[in-house]
Amino acid sequence: MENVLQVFQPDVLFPMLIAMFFGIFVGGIPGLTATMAVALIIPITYYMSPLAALAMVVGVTFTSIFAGDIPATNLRIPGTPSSGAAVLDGHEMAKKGKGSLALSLDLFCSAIGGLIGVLILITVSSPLAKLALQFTNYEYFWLGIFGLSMSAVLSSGNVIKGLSSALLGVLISTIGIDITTGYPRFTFGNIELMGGIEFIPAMIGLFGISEVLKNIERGSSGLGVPTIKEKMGVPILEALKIIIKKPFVIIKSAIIGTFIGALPGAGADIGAWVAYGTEKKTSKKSKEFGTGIVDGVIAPTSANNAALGGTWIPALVFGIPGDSITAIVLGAFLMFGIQPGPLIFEQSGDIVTGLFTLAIIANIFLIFVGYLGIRAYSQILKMNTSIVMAIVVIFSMIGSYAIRNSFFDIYVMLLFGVVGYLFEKINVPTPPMILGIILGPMIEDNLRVGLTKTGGDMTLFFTRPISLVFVILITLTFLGGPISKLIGKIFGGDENK
Amino acid sequence: MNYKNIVYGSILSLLSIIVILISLEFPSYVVRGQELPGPSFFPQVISIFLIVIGIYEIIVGILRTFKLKKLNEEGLKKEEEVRKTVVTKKGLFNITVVIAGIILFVPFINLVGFKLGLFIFSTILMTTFGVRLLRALIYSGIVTVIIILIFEYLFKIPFPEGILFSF
Repeated sequence: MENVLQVFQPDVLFPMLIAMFFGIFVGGIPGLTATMAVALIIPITYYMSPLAALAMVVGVTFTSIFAGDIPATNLRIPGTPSSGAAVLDGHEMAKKGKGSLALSLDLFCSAIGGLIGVLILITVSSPLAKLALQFTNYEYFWLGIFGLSMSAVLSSGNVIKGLSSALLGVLISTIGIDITTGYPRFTFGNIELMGGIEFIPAMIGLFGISEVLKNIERGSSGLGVPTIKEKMGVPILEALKIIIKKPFVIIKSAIIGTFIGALPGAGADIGAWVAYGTEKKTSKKSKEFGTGIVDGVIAPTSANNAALGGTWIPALVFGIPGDSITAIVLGAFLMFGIQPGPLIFEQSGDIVTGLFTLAIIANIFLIFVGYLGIRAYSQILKMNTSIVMAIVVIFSMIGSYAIRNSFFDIYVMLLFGVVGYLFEKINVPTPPMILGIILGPMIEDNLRVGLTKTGGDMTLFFTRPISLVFVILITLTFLGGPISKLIGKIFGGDENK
Repeated sequence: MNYKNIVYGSILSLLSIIVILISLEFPSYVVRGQELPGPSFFPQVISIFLIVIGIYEIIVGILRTFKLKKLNEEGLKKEEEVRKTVVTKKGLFNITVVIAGIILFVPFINLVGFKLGLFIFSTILMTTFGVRLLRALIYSGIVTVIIILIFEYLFKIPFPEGILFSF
């Protein structure tokens, strides 16, 4: 109890609040990631107590992941990679004049999802971490394929076109130095391409620039009016009413997010996509996903914040970072003389308890800080579309450059913007391509290492229990719909039900 | 003709064939006499899948063309759909300005410096999209100041000073 109460001190809570506002600010700017926000906050914590430092880190993480959803909803540009899935229905809702509702839902789902993630972290961190540790190359390979198959499901209408987009993304991910042999692939002697295609500029291009091109293609029509013609507010009661009706969507997505987050290397972005795909696949309204449905907002936004709790599981218990954010935090832990690992609960029990308490508080504070963030960022929508489109182009360019101070990434963004625009013209979905770029290296690396271990034999990819579960899940992802329709026909049920 | 599927399928197939041809030149990966999956393995596997999808798209495109000929009414509906999404002359001009602007932005800011370059680029974009010059100048000024404050001063991200002006 004493360890819990130590958190409720002004010198802990005040830095946390400041960090949370900073997180809203950074997360809401396309191109600036949650990882960047944490990296920027760490030097400030050098001279603080470990608990105050942790408070800042925890605060900035939860708010920046949420804030990434604000431009994703308003402008169709994900503020952080984990907001990619939130674009799909969030922006469609915004186009229908329900952007405020989408963001209000997002805010509460982020807070609730985050809380569920933390509660899972507290209660089942040890068993989940043990399961995550059983994942070898074979399981990680299938996890990647599972993510890709989800992306095919995500694609609006045509699974084959979605699959082609995902595979193109995977192919793009092979550009650069081959990790195993060090051989430069498809670089054509270009030094910039040696490091591969950075997926954040690609994502900004596919979502942001393509949207701009789509908006300006009809000349002046519609450019002189405000971007979204709705009174911007935060309809809390309306959002709460919807949330009360959808507890299972939130809980299910948060559990998926936490589980994916607990897998080292997976993180909040994959968690959000898998949760969205799962919800779409299992929902009765699966055909409405992508048209601005509330379930499509609830699932990814609950999952991405819940995944943060998950990432702490392997980080705390085994000292293995769940994502790039916890990798930075683990470095900070060592700076404060805290050794992450199985003994952390005994040696630094006060810090662990403090961390858990801080994470709960951060998710409660998120509602207030996020509310102000939505109000602040939504002001931009009062401007004419012509001004907003110009600002989107500028922020997309600067955001792409800022990732690694490379002008080359601006051209990458432009190329993907044009590709995204053309893809929309021929009804090829763009989100699977992003997932392909993200998951490509993970799939290739684990496939090749797995095959190297077995001398080219694929048997172990199918016979290990967890792998087998993934194979079944992937099969169901593709064939679940037709099978259920067939069963419906055989037993004479109405398939439209 | 249902060009969309046929063109998309052809591009996918062509791209995949090029990838396979390039990756044939990648070195093999041999460890203690055993040949293991090398740098060409994965791109080739993905390309094969893409060729299959490409051929599928071409076939679907051809089949739909025959179907559309039979169902003339549906063909007219499609034409109507295409007409609705057609790009106007002004729209094409807008798109050209954005693409050319982004391409020229880097050499331009290297010449005149980031601050001035960003201000001019922003003004050009806004006026192209139909914002009046005075308004465009005011908004561009605000956007430039905000970006400089956030990226240059807060995040210490380096931008070119420019050859002509340095401030």
